Amino acid sequence: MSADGSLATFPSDIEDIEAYRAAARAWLANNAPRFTDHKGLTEAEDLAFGRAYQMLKSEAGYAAITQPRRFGGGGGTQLQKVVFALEESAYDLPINYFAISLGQPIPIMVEYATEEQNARLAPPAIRGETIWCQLFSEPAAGSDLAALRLSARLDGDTWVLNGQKLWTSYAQHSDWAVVIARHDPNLPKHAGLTYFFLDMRSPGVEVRPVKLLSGGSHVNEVFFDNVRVPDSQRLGAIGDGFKIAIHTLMIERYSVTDLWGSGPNVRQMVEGLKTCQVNGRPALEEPAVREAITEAIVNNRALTEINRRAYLAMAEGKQPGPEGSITKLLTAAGRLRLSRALMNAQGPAALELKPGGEPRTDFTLGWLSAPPSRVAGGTDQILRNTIAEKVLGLPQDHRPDKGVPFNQIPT
Amino acid sequence: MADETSDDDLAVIQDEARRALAGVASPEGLRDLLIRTGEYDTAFWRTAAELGWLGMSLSETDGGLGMGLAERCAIAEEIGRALGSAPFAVSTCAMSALSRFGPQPLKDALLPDAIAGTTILTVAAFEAGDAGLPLRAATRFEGGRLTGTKVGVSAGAFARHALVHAASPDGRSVVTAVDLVQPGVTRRVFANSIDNSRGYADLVFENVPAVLLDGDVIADILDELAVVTAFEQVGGASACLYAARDYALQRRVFGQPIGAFQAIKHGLADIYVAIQVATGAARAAVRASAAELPAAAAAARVAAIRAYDIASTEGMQVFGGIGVTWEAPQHLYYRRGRCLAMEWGGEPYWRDRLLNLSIEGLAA
Repeated sequence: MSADGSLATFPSDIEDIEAYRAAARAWLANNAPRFTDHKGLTEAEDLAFGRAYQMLKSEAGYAAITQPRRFGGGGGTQLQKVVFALEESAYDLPINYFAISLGQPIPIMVEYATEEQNARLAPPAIRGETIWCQLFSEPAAGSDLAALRLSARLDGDTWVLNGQKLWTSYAQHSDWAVVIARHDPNLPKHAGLTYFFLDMRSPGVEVRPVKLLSGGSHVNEVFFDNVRVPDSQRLGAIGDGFKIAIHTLMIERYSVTDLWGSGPNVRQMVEGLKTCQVNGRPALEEPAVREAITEAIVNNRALTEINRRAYLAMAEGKQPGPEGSITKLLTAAGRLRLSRALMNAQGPAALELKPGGEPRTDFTLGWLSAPPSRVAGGTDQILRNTIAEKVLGLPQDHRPDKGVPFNQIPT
Repeated sequence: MADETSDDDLAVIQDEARRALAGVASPEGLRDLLIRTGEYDTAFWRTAAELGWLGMSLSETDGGLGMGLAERCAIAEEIGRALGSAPFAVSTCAMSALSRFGPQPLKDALLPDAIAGTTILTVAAFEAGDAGLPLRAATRFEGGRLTGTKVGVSAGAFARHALVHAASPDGRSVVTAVDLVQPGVTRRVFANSIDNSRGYADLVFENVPAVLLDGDVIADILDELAVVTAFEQVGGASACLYAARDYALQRRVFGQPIGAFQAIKHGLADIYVAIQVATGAARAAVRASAAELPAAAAAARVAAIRAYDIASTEGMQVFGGIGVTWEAPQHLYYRRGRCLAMEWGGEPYWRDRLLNLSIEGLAA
């Protein structure tokens, strides 16, 4: 899509989607503005604010656009979801709390849970009354998810979970969760995993927020001490855990944050630097500074076009390619380089963290918050592996643990 | 230039181009040209003319096929991939400029032969001591006559006519068309260059008659050249990437293919990303409105230069010793990539232009 949001001339499904876009834009104009002023709110107040907005969205069919109407979803398409999210991104709304919840756990529930379970659990989540989190990563299982150690032992018709998860987004606000655990350590690592959902208020679940380097703490440690989960809350067969986990991660592969909006607003970032000097010359003439700005502008332009084409491919019902990996590789590391160069241009005044900053426009905050984005959702190194293996067809890395029973892998 | 030909249509054009080029353009052919002076690949050029590529994006009134820039860029990408060694980008961009800005008699005189490939056109914009387009050309156009020197003119060794950037006595920037085969024109052909098939020459004009094009259009001409060349660069860079990928799958050391080592995998992934960025920026430039084109073309050029640089240098490195021999094709891309990076003004010039156009007040 071009910068002005226009989509010249395209086939009829695009015309249909343009009608959808117009309706979404009108709905947002009527409803979104009153939820944009959340400066100074406590997190609890902001969350309540978010729930109220989520309720409104669900009434209009915008809360979980691709989910079935019988569970309170919009019954729409992936493309409609992208279009709505794009339009919605024009407003600063308290929607992050629900992004994971409705992005992964609820779609995977709809796919694997029973009709009765979904009828009971999906509607309140879609209305924003409940929040779901995704208990995947662990201290020793990040990039190598299948190395996870959380143990699930069957006791009658109940599973007993013991161990620890880490990096769980919004667990502190979550009512429910999906979780992968190891039901049999005697099997090779991928084969010994099983997938469940559970009530986060179950006895033995303890959530401790992890403070990230920039001071925020939307991620958590979650501890399991003999947490009992009925076998009726198992998703898929025993041993299907890894397959369903990959399915979960693929659902939201083309979320809007991947496709759009994560690039820096270069123009706004350099605005305050025009009067800055280096040794008597304008700081914006400094070659390293200009190089960093050039990289950001070129990448922004290229990614806009790459993602416009991914969007068109989706409109034609095609699976987009590996655009997501490229976007994240360029934006996360690129933001770090640009932010650092612009701090250099400003001088020591750049060390101040101003209140109410936003990483896309405030380079100091952009610098401080860049490292987590190079790790979350696939490290830069894993993304390079993905490109090398999935796109270029190069061999997998040497894996000494392949086929070895999990409990015999040296630690 | 707003232009959206469907990907399927472009893929058909590219497939056909790839097949046509397979018979005529090759690394072997270029290796021969490297040790000669002032020669280009005539077999490739004849094929390009016969297939209608040279006039493809001219209007039917001008004798062309009435196709768009996107189609011509698709061909350029394949030429880049195959190391086609004749001046497709500049001759077609000069034709495009003539058709848009030239007086009718000049079009009548030049376009038919240029479309047929019997005449090669070039663009002469750069002068000694300036890394990019001079702010004010030292070459003067006065009373219908041109005096001055242009340096490193691509295809200058074999072009019959050149579009020459100059300044009029009142300081205006102008473009003039000059017949290069006439008294008062001296070509100093580079006896040796990093890619002799490019036909580099300095052109010296001493009070020679020239025909004025309409308006200050040198930037328009260079923008289009930047875009078409960007596709040629993307094609060449892709050839480097996939050659290195194939070699990495086949070459074994320490008991496994080198492509299983992350040092190689990540290097190739980085090349892939650079090429995707260049492709995205180049496609955005093809779609750009007239107002957006200058910045879009500059971004496309910067991204394409970088992609070909990383692909040709790091791609060559994957081959180890065999990659640095005369017989291996890697140096041909290494040479061509650098030529394409320099001949329409190098990266510093286009980077500066991009910044000036993108952000007000960023002019150095």
